[in-house]
Amino acid sequence: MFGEEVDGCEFSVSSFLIVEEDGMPAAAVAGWIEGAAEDGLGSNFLRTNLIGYTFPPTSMAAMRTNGAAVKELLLPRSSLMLQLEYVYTSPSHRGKGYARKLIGKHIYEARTQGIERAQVQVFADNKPAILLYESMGFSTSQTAHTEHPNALQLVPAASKLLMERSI
Amino acid sequence: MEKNDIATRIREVLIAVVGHDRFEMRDDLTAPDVEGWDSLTHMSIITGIESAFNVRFKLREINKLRNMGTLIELVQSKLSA
Repeated sequence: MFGEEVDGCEFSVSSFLIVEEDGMPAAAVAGWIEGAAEDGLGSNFLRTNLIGYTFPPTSMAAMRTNGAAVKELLLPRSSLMLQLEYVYTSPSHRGKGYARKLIGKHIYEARTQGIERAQVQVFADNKPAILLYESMGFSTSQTAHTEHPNALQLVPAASKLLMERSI
Repeated sequence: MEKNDIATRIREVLIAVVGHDRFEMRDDLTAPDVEGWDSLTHMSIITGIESAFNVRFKLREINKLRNMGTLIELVQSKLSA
């Protein structure tokens, strides 16, 4: 997908578990252990490095500009916790429990590596996702909010939740 | 190029990106020690250093950087390659 691949962030191909139906992707969830790859480098730096080495400089400039508008929504990812991101089910496959199964598989794999907690971040308006995470034992541990006037042009809500559970 | 000369030029890049000089150039200096050096400014710093020394890092190389000392060593190795 990229010129060079790295493990340990939400853009890493190795982070994804995918459900396929008839040879086509139906659902996907990224999951990785924060700080476990690349000698402890955080996923935020890994992601930035990957973007910086994949896209033209104009993309980095846009990222810096847009980043200022959503900076207050950044929530910390705890080291050595399972991180879940990009939980997605294509519309025609919703309601089949795929996201739940993929999250469960990520949790199972993390547990076998001795990991004890999982985190997921979700925008406050994404009620179906919040209900799913709550039903799987996640609860909100932190909330971030922004009043930046341009934020809603970039993200779906002005608030974001950090949800956690032991695994 | 001597290590001190490399450090001086890297310092200039850092100041240009983060907009201040409130940090000390030590081998164990890391991003959290420098106000404004975050994941968003990180690539500007890296590309600024590449331009300043006319070198190109590999993604694997910058992912292995741990502190200022390893960054200076990386630049040194590129210049002597």
